[in-house]
Amino acid sequence: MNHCTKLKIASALAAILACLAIASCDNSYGVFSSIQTEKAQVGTTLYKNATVKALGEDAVNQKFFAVMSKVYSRSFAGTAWTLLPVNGVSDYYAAGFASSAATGTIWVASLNAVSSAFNGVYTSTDGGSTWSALTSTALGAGSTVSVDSLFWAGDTLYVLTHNHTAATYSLYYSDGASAFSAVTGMTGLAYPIIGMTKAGTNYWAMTEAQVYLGSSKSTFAADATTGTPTGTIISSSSGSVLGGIAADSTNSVLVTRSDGILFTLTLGGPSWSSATVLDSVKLGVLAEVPTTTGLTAYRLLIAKHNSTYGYCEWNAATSTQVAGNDSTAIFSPTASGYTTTVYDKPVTAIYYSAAKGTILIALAAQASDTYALYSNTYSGTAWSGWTAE
Amino acid sequence: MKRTLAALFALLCIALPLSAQVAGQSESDGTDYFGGLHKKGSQIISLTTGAGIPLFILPADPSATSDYPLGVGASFSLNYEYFVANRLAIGGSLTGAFNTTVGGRTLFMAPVALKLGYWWGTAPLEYTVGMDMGLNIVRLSGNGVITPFIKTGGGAFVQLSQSWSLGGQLYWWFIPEVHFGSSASLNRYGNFLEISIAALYHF
Repeated sequence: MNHCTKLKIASALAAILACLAIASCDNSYGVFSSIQTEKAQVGTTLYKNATVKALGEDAVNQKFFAVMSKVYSRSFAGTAWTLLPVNGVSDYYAAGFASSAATGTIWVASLNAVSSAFNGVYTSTDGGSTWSALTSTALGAGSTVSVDSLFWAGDTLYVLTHNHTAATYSLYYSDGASAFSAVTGMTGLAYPIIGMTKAGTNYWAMTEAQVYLGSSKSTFAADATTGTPTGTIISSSSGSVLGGIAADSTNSVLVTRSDGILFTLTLGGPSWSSATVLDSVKLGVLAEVPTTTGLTAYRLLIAKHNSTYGYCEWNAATSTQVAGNDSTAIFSPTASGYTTTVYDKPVTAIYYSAAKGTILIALAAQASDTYALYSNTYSGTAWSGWTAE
Repeated sequence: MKRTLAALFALLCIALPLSAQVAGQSESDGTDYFGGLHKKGSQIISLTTGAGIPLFILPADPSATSDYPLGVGASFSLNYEYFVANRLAIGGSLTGAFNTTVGGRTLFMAPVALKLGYWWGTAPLEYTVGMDMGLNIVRLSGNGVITPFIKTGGGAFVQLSQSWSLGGQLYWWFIPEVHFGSSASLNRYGNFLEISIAALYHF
């Protein structure tokens, strides 16, 4: 190889290297400026490398709740999270948790931590100091049937059970204090209910494949509204599934799907509308949060999974999406405030407390050496940004 | 401030013996050029590894909550120098460096630079001062920029054999992160101190 050939090869390699390097650059991202605004996140050891699967609030007794294998609580004013014994038992497994912030009521489906035997569904109206058991004989919980989860939909408590022999799921309801009864049209389901909400007078439930409409608390049927969202249940590498369901401040029902689409059904509307939030990106749980405490404008926080996890902000008024660390993002004043907290961790639950003006976000933080629970509080002029609990 | 003072003290410690050697070497070095190893046509390959100490980022950000958002990191490099004249060498360097941030992220930098060095010494000690200039590929949380890169400093080495020397180096890294247009407000100037050990191979 002569000198000229060597020079050409070296020049070509240098050009390729330069192209690759330049292609990886983002002129709108300031590395050093991002680092300058970072702050150390020192949270509760309890949540480090953990997964928080559900959140709740008791606005009457002023408490927040976070659910892992057990339920933990802290007061609005405090910072310390403590284990919540359920009916005097500290060594239990929380199969399900639900809360009604407005009425100050919480419910826990408790299992024996060792045998997984069903202890019962317990409720408390004093922040967990005293408990009473709901009559749960209708659930048939035992060796064949287990209690999977609890949902609170406006004014009704729902329990999802799982028959291991038949591989089916069934839904039961209660007013929160009385005995459970089976929900008509919601027994023997092929897939588990993953979310419920109430919008206006209608109740809504959702599996990964189907949305169900309850014209009353006790009777549901597959939603037949034009354009109702459906999932195909991914059996190979193709297909899409429903991810999250919520109701907004106008009682519209919102459903996300794993292909990046947000479906909306306005109260009394004749059909569902759809909008692409992030093309071909898996969307998950969602919550509507006011951009200020004046409640004049809202954004949706939508869990997502593309090249990273975390969430995006969706402005329904303008049908625009911004990344959590975008310079126009509302809930993280600095890019690093998002990137060092929520970024790259699956979002399992988002809860907005109107009473406290605080957002709680629950994450799966295993092996990240970071935390699974962050809060964000509106100061009156701006959101504080995410801080480890 | 403590970190900056410590860095300046370290720089002073290495600079004093170097300046003393420069003053005294003309009498003892003669035209030997370190046994011919610093003569025109000689070459050096060096491997270094050491600590990357973040000093400060300018301009300061008023919303910053930590004086030192970066922790002490590590750096490693491969260098080549060719003596184009007695004691004067040019070459290049490939470097990798990383630092963790207070928020738990990792800043990764990969400077690719041209190198200019001045070498002198009397066996068994040899010294260099020099400057690297080039481009720096910077990555943080999946985002990246390419910045200019300048580092300047020097080192002192003990000759272990005819070909090998081992010693220490101290270099100041200056990294201007320049953005254009509406992103010009993101312009920052990073300053780091490299303290490293180096193995030299003369040939």
